[in-house]
Amino acid sequence: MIVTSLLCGLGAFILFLEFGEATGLTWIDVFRAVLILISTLWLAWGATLAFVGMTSRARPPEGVEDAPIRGRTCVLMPVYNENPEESFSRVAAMEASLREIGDPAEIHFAILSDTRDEGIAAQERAVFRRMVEECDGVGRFFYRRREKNTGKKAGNIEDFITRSGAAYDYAVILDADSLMEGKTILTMIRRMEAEPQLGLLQTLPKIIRAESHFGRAMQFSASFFSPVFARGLAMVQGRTGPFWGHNAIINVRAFAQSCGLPELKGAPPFGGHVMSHDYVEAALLARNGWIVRLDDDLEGSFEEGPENIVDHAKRDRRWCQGNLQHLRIISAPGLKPWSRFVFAQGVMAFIAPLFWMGFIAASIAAPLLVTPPDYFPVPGWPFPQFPQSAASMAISLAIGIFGLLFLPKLLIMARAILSGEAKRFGGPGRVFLSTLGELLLSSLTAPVLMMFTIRSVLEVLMRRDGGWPTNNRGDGILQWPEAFAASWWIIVTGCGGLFAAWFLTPELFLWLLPVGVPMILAPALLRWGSLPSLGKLMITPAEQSPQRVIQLYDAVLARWGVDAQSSIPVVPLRLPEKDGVKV
Amino acid sequence: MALSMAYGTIATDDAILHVGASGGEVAVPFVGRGFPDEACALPAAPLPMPTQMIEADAGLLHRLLRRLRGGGAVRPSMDVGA
Repeated sequence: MIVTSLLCGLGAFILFLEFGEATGLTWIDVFRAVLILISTLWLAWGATLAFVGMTSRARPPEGVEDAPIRGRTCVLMPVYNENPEESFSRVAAMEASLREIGDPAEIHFAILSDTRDEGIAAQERAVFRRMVEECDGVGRFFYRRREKNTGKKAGNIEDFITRSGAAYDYAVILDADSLMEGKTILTMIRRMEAEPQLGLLQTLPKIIRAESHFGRAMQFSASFFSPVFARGLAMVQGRTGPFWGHNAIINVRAFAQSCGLPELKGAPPFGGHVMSHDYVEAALLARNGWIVRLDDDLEGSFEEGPENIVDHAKRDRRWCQGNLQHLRIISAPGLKPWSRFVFAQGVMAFIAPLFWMGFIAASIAAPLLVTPPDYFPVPGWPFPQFPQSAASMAISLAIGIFGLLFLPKLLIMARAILSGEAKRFGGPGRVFLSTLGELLLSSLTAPVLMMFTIRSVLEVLMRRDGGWPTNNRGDGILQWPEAFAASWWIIVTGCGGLFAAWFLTPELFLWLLPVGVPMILAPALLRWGSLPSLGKLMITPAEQSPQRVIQLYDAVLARWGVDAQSSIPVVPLRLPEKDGVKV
Repeated sequence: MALSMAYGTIATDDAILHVGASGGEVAVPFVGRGFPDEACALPAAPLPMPTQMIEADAGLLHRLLRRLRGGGAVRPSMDVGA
C-alpha cells in the first residue's frame, strides 16, 4: 500500500513537472510539484485503504460466541458537563439490553464525572439516584466525581484504574454519547477472554440520531463508507490496531501496566497533558507486547456526531492540537514502527490541507514570482513560438486526483448495489442518489472545512491552546448571525483568492471556482447544513430498523420525559421485570 | 494522578456518591472501602499505573547523529586502560 501510494504521488509529481516543462520549468513549478506529490500521496493512501477494505472480509474468531464468561467487567462512562439525562439514559439502555439477553457476565457500570458545573453535577446525582432505583442497580452502578479534572479524560480513566482497577478484568470505555448493544459487549468480553494477549479491542461505532443535513450526511458516510475504510485499516494495522478513545474494551491490567501517561514538558499546546491520548495508549499497549485490534465485524456500537460544521470544526480543533502534539511522542523509545506511522498519519490528516492551500496560492501567485514564458524568443521574428500543448497532461492529473477522491466511494456504492447490501440503506436507487448527494455535499463543504483545519493548525503552531470545550450535542441549528460570525474570514479569503486569480492568472479562474465559490457561500453552507433534513435520502440501517438498544434508549428517554430529538419513533416496549423492577 | 499508591492508601479529596438501598445519599471519602461489601461505592482495589516514558530525550535526527558519531555503543565513563 505504501508503495502504491508512493507510485501515485510520484506519478502526479512527474506529470506536473512535465506540465510545467511545457512552458519552461521554473522553481515555482518544482515547488508546486512537491506539494502535489505530498497531497497525492495522502489521497492515494486513503484510496488504497478503501481498496484493501473492499477486497477483504473480517474473519471473526471462531468458537467464542457462546463461551462462558469468567472475568468481571466495568462499563465506564466518563462525563464532562454533559446532559445527564441523555448520558445516563444510555447507560440504563445498555443495562436493559444486557438484562434482556440474560447477562451471563458480571458487569458493573461506573459514571466517572469530571463535570465542573455545580448545577449539572447536582442533576447528575439526581438522575443517577433515579437510574439506580429504576434499574435495581445497587452494587452494580457507581458514580464518582473528581474535584479536579487532572489529565482530562485520560486522567479520569487513570483515576478509576488506580483506585478500583484491580477489581475488574476488563473495562468498556465509552463516551458520553456512546451506546452499545448488550450482545456486542458480551461478544467483546468473550473475545478478550479467548485471546489473553489482547490488550484492547476497538469496535467501529456508527453515528446515529443525526437530524441535520450535515449530520445525516456524516451519519450516512459513517454507516456506508466507513466500514470499508475501517476494514482496510484493520487489515493493514493488524495487531497494532487503532484506539479511538471510546466504544472499546480494555484488559485492565494491560492498560494499567502500559498506559500511565505523563504530562509532557512545557506548556500547551505542545506540552501539558496528552490530548489525543487514545492513539498514544494504543501505541504504548503495542510497545508492551499487547495486541490492539479493530474488530470491524462487531455491530451494535453507536455514537452521535456533530450536527453542524461549526461543532465539527470545534471538535477538529481539539483533535488537531492533540495530533500535532504527537510530534513530541513520535520518537518515543521502543514504539512499534507502525505506531510511529499512525502518529505521522494523524499529523498528516491535519496538515494536508496546508499543502493543498499552498499549491493553490503558489499557482495564483506564480506570475509574481517567476518570469512568464517568452513566446517571441527570436528578435524580429513576427510569429510566436507556442509551447507544445500541456492540456492533456493537466487534464490527466486532474482526473487522477479526482479519481482518488471519488472512485473509492463510487466503487463502494457499486459493490453495495451488486451485493444487495444497498437494501439496508433504502434500496439501490436511494443509495445511488445518497452517494451522489454525499459526494456533492462533501465537495462543497471541503473548502470550508479545509479553511477551518488550516486555522486550527496555524493556531497550534502559534502556540495557542484550544482548551477542552464541551461537545455540543443539542439540535445545533445555526442562526444566520452565528454562521456569519463563524465564517466571515473564509468569505474574505475566498473573495481575495478569486480576485487575485482574475488579475494574475485568469486562465486558472474557472478551475478555482469549485474552491472559491463554496468559501464565499460559507455562511449559507453552515446555516443550511445545520437545518433539519426532511429528505428521504441518506438512510441508514439504524433508521430503517433500529437495533434493540436504540429502542431501549428511546424508551428510557420517553419514560424520563426527555425530548429525544430523534426521527426514530419510540417503540412501545414490553420488557421483562427483574425482582419486581421494570426495566 | 497524585495518588500515594506506594503505601497502599489513596488520599484525594474526592467523594463517592453512595446510594443505599433506601435511596439515601451519603458522600463518603474514598478510603479503605471494601468490595463487594460496600455495594454502591466504587471498589477500593488499587492497581498501580506506572508513568510511562513517552518523550525521547532527543529528536530522531539527534539520535541518528549520535548513533553515527558513537556507533550507539556504551562508552566507559573512565579510562579503563589507565
